[in-house]
Amino acid sequence: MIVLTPKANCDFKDEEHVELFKKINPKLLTKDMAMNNSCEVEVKYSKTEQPIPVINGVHLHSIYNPEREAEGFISGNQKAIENSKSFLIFGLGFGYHISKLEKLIRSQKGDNFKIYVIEPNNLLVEKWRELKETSFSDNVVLFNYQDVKDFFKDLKLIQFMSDKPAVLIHNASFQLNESFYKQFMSFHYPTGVEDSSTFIENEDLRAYLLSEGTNETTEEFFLRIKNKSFIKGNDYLALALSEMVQGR
Amino acid sequence: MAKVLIINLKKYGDLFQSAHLVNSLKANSPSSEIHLLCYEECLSAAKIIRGINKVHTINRKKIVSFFKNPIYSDGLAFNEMEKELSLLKNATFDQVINYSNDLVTTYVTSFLDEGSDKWAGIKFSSAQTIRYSNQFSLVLNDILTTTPFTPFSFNDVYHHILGIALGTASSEGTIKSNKGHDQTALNNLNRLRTMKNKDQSSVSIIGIQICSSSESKDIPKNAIIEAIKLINESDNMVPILLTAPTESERKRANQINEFFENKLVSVESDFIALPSVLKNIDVLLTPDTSIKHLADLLRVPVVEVSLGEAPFLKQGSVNTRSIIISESAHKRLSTSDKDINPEISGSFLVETLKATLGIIDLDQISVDKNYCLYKPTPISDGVFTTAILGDFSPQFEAKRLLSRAVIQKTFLGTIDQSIFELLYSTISKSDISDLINKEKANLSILTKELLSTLRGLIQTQENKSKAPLFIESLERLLSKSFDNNLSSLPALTFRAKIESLSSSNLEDNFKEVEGLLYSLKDNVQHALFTLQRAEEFGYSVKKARVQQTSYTGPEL
Repeated sequence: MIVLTPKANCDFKDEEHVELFKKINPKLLTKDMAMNNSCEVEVKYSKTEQPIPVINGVHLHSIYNPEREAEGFISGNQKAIENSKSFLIFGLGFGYHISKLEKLIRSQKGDNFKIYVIEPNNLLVEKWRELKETSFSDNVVLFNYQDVKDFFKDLKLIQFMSDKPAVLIHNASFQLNESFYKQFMSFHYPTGVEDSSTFIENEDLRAYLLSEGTNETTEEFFLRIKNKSFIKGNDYLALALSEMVQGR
Repeated sequence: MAKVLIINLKKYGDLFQSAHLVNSLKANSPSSEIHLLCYEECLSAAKIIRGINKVHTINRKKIVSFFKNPIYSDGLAFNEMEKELSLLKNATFDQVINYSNDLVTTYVTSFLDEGSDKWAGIKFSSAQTIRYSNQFSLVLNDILTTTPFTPFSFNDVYHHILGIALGTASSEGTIKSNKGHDQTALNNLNRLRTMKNKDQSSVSIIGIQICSSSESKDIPKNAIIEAIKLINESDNMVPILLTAPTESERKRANQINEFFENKLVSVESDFIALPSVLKNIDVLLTPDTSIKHLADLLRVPVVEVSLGEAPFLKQGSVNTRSIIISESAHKRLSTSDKDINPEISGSFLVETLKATLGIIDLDQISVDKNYCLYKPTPISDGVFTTAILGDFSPQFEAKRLLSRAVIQKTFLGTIDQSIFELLYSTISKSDISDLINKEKANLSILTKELLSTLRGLIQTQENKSKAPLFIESLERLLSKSFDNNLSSLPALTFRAKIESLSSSNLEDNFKEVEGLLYSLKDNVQHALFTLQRAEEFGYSVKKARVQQTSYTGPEL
């Protein structure tokens, strides 16, 4: 079981890792994601008679006893679970591991916790919803997009990630969609003002950001404002932000 | 009812320090509604300051994370920043105080106060030049940051900026504490007193804060251990370790406790519980400015060990029972490596603690080599941190006092006579006389440069080709602001005003520059007048009351 610490989570920029991955199999970064999303989700039943999703021959849970396997997921992440109330899980599967985690956290820490789940495979999500083998409370939120960028457009998920949750990885899901998760972890959001403006709720501020064109990066934008001979209104706000992020 | 916004985007120490201003604002106008804007990471400290009606926060960590972490769009940082500030922008305040005086706060002040001119401190004009709310905001922004003399503490300057006197705390005090915690702390600490001696009133609890914001400021472990041994051996003192609830402080406390077979009492408390502990100890030994300010607000005497880069003169205590241990100010300013502190002994620390408690007199302290003691001394417009014992430079300390008098004369029009009294009670007459003569010569040089610049300006107005000569003499004049003497005070004031001219082209500003040169001439006269008054005061003092070597300290 792999556990990323909260610190590692906030520094999703393991570019070297991704580069290495590309060298091993350059096509895989795009290939396996498309393949897994279009592949049929086969359902088998474990010896305990619980449904198990199988994609491309990969069993996402134990064919013997998914509940017991989920206990292994808990014990393998024990330290991270003890030290946090916010968890980001890579991989839904059919949710046995999530259900087990939710029960444990509620019994230990009450209702004040959050579990957010990242799952890129929409066919898997559909099948899980159809079978209803596991269900969660409102403390558990599932995010299901195919494009990595879409996850980083979701304000709810972004706010959650900025609080540095513990990242727990469901191994089978991760291995199945390894390139997706690596892209997720090394994602760089475009720094242009046009892309940035889509996140700004205040219309005046959004218009201000786009008033001088959309081609500049935010760094170029800050520099231009700093060099203006006459500043007013949101210029002051932008310069305050510029100084703050530079640690002054 | 005045509605005031204080913007303080610094750390815990500055936040606690601003409680003095909150207290004074309330004392001057009890019905005033005070809002505070601080970083969210300081919210727990802000919440215990009495008198603040509402705390607003900016989540700096989140904003920086949104901006620096490449997975997030920069737009999220803009959005987060705008959310809190737009609420404040839409509210109406009678005064917006730029307390932290850094770039972020100054831009935020300018954003919130745009078009209303109700700010205190500094803000930026539309041309990005500095606008001062009054002369003391110039003292804060330009003089305190450049001169080595530190004539004022930040606290005194902020009071001058707002034109209010240092207020007396209400009967409830400036810091909130939980009554239950107060009682628990009292009971537990009295139990410790009784364990030391059945007559608990004869026993003093010494709180020892072992960690500061950086290692270079920490009291060395061997000195702490030696001090604790000596405190333990005494009949009337009990040490307790004070730590914040963090892993690093816990670890440091455990390391020290191991030397005492884990028998030391270690109290771990957050900002909610800490006031209750501090209120029930007798003296605090600390290298940390934030807890020093907190103790100050709770009127608990402090022995502050100021090491490393701590700006002890600017962040001075107001409690006149406190003592500051430091290398002398002139040495700290000239030392390039701030990470290396002279060796300090536990016995020196304990003697200073005993003097603070009144167990021994100040002159019984054996001050360690390279160290000296400073004490907060009340004067009419605040508190002056006075060197009282040890290895200090009499002329440097005299410069500090005279620089305060010069600023008072220049910006207030009058000089507080208690400065001269303090001067002649702590520094020998011959040292003062030497200094005054040197400073008069420095002012004379400044006057020559001033007249040369004025002549150059007049010639340039008549003949533009003379401009280079004028610029050259102006540069020479401006360079005087970096001299380490009293003449740098009027020069600095002049430089600050030149830099805040709206046009960068001097030719466009001839008239304004001419006005500023005449204003500089007036300020040089103020400085000369101050030196003459100091001299006259000296004539009236028949004999310097105290020589540095046998000095026993001013009456405080």
